[in-house]
Amino acid sequence: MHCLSRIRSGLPLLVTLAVALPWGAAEAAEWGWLPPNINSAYGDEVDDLYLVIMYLVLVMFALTEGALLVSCLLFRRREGHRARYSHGNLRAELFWSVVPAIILVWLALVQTDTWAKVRERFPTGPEVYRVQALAEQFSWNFRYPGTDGQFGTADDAYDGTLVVPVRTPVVITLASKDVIHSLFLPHLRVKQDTVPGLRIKVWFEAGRVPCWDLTRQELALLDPEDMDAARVAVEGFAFQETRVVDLESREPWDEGKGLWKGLKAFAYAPAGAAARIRHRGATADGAHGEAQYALHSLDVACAELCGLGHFRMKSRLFIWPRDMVDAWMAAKAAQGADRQLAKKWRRIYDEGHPHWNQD
Amino acid sequence: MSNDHIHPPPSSFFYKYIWSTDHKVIGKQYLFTAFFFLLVGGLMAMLMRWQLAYPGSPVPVLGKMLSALAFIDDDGRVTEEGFNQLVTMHGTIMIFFVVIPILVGAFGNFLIPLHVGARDVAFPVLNALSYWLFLPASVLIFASLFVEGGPAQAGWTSYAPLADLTQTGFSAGHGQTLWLLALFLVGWASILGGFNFLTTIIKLRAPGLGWGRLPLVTWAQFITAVFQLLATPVLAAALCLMLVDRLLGTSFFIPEHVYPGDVASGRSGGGVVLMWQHIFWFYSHPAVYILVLPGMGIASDLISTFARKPIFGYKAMVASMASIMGLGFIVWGHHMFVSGMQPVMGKTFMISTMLIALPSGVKVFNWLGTLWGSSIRFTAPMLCGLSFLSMFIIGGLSGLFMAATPVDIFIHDTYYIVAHFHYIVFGGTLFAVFGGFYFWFPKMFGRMMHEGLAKLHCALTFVGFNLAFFPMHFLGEAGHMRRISTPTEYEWLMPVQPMNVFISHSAFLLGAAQLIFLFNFFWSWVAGRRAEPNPWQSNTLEWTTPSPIPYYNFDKVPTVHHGPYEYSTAGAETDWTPQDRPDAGPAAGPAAGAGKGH
Ligand code: HEM
Ligand SMILES: [Cu+2]
Ligand SMILES: [Cu+2]
Repeated sequence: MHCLSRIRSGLPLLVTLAVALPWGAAEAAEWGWLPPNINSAYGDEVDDLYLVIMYLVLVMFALTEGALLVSCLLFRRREGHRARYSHGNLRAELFWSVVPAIILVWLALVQTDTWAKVRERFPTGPEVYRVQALAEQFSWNFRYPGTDGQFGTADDAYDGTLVVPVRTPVVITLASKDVIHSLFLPHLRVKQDTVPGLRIKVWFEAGRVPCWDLTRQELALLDPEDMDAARVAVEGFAFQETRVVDLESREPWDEGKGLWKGLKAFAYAPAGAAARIRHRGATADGAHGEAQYALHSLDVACAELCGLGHFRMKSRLFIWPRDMVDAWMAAKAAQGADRQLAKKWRRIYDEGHPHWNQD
Repeated sequence: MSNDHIHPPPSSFFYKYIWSTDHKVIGKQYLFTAFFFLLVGGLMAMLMRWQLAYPGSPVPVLGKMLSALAFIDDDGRVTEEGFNQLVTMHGTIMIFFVVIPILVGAFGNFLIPLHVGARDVAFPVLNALSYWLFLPASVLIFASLFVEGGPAQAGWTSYAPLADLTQTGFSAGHGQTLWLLALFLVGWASILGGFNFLTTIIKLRAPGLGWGRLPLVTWAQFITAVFQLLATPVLAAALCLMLVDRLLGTSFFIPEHVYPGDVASGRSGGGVVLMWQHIFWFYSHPAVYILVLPGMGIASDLISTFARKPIFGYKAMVASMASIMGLGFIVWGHHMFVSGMQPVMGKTFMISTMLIALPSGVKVFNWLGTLWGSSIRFTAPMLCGLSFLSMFIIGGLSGLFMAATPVDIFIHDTYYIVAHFHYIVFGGTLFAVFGGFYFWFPKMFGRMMHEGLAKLHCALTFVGFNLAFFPMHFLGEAGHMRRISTPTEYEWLMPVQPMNVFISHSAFLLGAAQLIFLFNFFWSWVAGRRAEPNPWQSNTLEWTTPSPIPYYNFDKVPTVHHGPYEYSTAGAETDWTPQDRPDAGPAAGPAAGAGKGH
């Protein structure tokens, strides 16, 4: 009974925490904060590991913080009452050393296979799509092998964006021209530093095609089959940014007001007379109104502080059906590289480290 | 040690306050220097938070005042380039010029001789020298804010080759050279200090003060000193290598074929970029424990004292700190999981990192065991001690996500990391530090700090801290990179931008709350209530001296009869038993003061 009355004085605290903690935990455990995961090779494994740790941690958190809170409420100082004199308890100490030790070792063991998959077991064979990356202050350069499948030849394609086929294992070779950068593809759970003097590879498989839902005006990640069945504009729409107060309601933001510059809302709007619309693998001219989606792209960032212009080092990731990638690459290969750009690639790859062009 | 050996205190101002060899004065010299940098570093944090919430908007009030600085433009905006300098200097200042100096320089200096019952450290002149190496380092790092091109900009980790190259616009300027020099001096101050503290603890313990009777805060300082002695020289070596790279054009960390800004690096090449990271983290992982071990020690003392209960599992507490030290030397690679290091190394470091979570866990359980069945006095220092504990738990748990290599790939270099280490260093260590001030202020200045203001400060800090830093886990989960000036430039981060605004406002609250502390500190120094010798009824030796402590600490070197945590002994008249009280009755605890099952 008096135990209860002791707790009562701490009731407001307890109630606050009882509300705040589950809320915080639910927020944290919710997938909502993680960007959508489209890595069909090992993405789910990584996110599952994250969740497993999250549940484990939430239990530990509840036990320890709960014990702390309960102690604070139960063992407040009272007149005429002394603390229990004790220097410890060997059995309790053994218990809370051995049990966490087992859990930690288990945690270490369950993840080794995922790590090996991500970093050691690279896909091989002719179906693998290869790209070379050359990071520099402050931009990303990518090189594609063209039709001959060889790097460092005349039909290589060069671009500042990353273009990969959907549902195909992709291996990217990373190198840097100057300092350390870090290729970050948040939607693929890929992050890898590029280090001067080293060639480092990463791999992934993109399972879905980033499109833009033209009715809802938001990102839609489509399975290749769904994309095939839908009408997707590949040309004829322009991407636009506006400032809004709230992303949900898209209420426009008032330019003259305050220091906050609003949030950027994105939308595609028709541009030009007609759109090029892809449907069931064929592309034809069509009215803007026919398109349900427009092809979109995802963020590519540099995650390592790489100098004063670090903030402007970004690019885009396009994930397309294979035939589109092939057509794009052929067109790009025909363009070649300008002298400046070709020199950069020669210095680091073809002449600097010729063996980097091999597997 | 005989009592007739006491020299009179110095009477000239110069020997008393400037070139003082008194450990208490040196501790205060460190303290006030660190306070100055706490303001500087804190202000930088506010500037960063402003930019992240309102990218490209002039900073109100302060912006124009500070526009002479390299990272602020004439309209008072934080520039996108300058943001790099802000993060770099904030981190460097907080770690090397605030937290380590306060923990080791101030608390270590002040408490170690008192806790071992000595009249000063083993080498008082060396001790003064250590501060007088630290001070020029402080001047250098502060001056670097004003040099042409601004201060260092490559992060507190100063990764090569960015920090190593010297091409204007593409690498670090003079600020970086000053950074290296300043850290080199700080490193030496640290090495000398560690050497001194180790000797003091090993050689100068009062009669009866066995290893099992040392307060945990002194054990923590002991282990920290070992860290400093073994790890800091490695940092010093790395700094030297980078300095000669920058000044003499060698290439320790620069390979061939490096073209900053499309021009040749001008170095012969042949160096290894990742070598810097290996050496740096070989020091800096131990250094992050230097940032928390003394805090753990302080918290142990606070929790036991105000729970009126012996620390639960004293031996396990010491053993876990020792194993943190041992393991602390073989986990550095967990900072390099995405660096391009061999994947098999990643696996190795993952396992050792999982293991190092264990001793931290044991400490948490033992603190909780101490509280269980206790009789808690909720004083301001205790509130801080409890805050330390609850925040340390969160910081430790978030470490598990990062230890998991496949998960770390995603959260590395995001706000998840920022949340993690602030939970430990701010939520943990700084709370312990605040608690330590509220607790030992009477010994330092002879007066009590204002308890009401202290509680207010503690509460506001607790709330402000959690509101500012907990949501950073969410940002990290969203993939929000750290060290970027303009999050609104990334399409996928747009939905989380309102959280940046929320965090910044919480950070401003948190920052403002620290003014209460500073006010309380200086106001109490002049006008606080005069303190009796042992206001908290605590056991350790410093409380047997008058407040403030006289020049030579103990007019008679004490003899120690008990462990430090003999609270609520059955049959004793009071619920505390000072370590030097001779009445070793049957219930006075085990002779070594160490844990046996009861
Ligand atoms: C429970 C034990 C802990 C584990 C498992 C752990 C794990 C980690 C890991 C894996 C990282 C690297 C993450 C990354 O950059 O991707 C990290 C970063 C960090 N940890 Fe811990 N940690 C623990 C406790 C601590 C403690 C006690 C401190 C001390 C103050 C600390 C301070 C830091 C700091 C400062 C960084 C970031 C350094 C930087 O990149 O700027 N951690 N931790
Ligand atoms: Cu970069
Ligand atoms: Cu570490």
